[in-house]
Amino acid sequence: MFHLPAFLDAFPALLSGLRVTIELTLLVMPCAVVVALLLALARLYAPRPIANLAMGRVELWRATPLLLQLYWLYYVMPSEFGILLPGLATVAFGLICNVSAFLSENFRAGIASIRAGQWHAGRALGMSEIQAFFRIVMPQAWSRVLPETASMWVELFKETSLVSTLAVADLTYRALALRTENYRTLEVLTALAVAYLVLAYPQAKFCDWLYRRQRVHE
Amino acid sequence: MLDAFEIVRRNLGLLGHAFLITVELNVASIALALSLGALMGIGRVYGGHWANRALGLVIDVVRSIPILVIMVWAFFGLPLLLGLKVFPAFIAGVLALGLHSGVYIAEIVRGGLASVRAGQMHAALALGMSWWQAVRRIVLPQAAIRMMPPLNTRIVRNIKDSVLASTIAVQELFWAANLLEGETAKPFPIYTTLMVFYFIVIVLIARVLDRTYMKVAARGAA
Repeated sequence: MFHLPAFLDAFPALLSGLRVTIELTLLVMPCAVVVALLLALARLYAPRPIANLAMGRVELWRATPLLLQLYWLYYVMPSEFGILLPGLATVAFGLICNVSAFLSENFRAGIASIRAGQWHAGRALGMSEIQAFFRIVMPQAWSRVLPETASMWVELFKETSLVSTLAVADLTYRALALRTENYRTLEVLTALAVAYLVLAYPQAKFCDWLYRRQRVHE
Repeated sequence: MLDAFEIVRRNLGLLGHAFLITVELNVASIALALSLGALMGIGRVYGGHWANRALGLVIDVVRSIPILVIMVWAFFGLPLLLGLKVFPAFIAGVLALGLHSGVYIAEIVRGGLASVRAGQMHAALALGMSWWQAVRRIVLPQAAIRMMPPLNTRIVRNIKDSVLASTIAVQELFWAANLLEGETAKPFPIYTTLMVFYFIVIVLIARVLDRTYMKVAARGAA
């Protein structure tokens, strides 16, 4: 019933899709980190209207399904606003907006958790506000938000699979296409699951290790 | 926005049915996830070394596979494996969502149970309770309150993930939206309305769950 050669043959066919999955993750994550940091700073330090705007932006993207967000961008941007982007750029933009919303909450909590005394000490040593932030507060906050950020990376790696529904030829898309070519449904889909497993499992374990290392013992 | 009202008004029957399916899908999958999560979490904490290792492996495996892939596999692959001719998409959706949320809930349950100090268990056993009585009446109630914030996040997440069932043709809300988009070629009013709908529903549910936790939080303090 389970045809082993068909299962093994599926992997080479998935490779080109894997490249897109990895590229997408590598492209989205750094951009999302930068946007998330800006959002977190806006919510913490910007004047009220801007802080509220940032909050609305974050809540909107956190409280709606990612698939719906991607579809909205993919279909509405060209039809209503005349913005015609390639599929890959559209989904990358959507993923950046989504991931940065979740990350910004993490960053905000991390920055807020650094006691005010750290700021004061930095200022007392003659640093400017900006210097104190980048040289005193951010390095400490960074180590606190690192485990959560790493989990978000793994989450993103898995969530890129949704782009297959919008004809972006990632790992999942390749598998679904291959299934309709050779009708080896069970073997191809199992190969797909195994491919994600082999790639994401070490990443998830690495995150667990980060969490353990970071844990505060009371 | 007039378009949106018009499209919703003309398709009230379809959308009402789709809404019901979305509710059923979520109720069933969250119930499955909570049961699975509780069993696996308890198994990890009290089942001994090997049960802990085995369940840990299962949890890590499921956590490493995207929900979309689990869903597609459950719908297309599982019936082939089981030799079933007919396999309703709804069942596949419930199984996939329930399993996926379930393994995350198992880790939440494990953390919650482990956070109740061992003395509580010892005291209950010393009072003559059986192991199961002690778990059920002493440890779980305390752990349950502490588990609520992450559980609430997971429940909300399950609702958001449930739109993926549209990819295996479960006739839920997002599936209906795509159908209407295909008929009317008006993506803007359709997807925007659905976005607003999900936003309101999810914010409301998150708020209610949060309030519920606030009411009982003090009782879960260590």
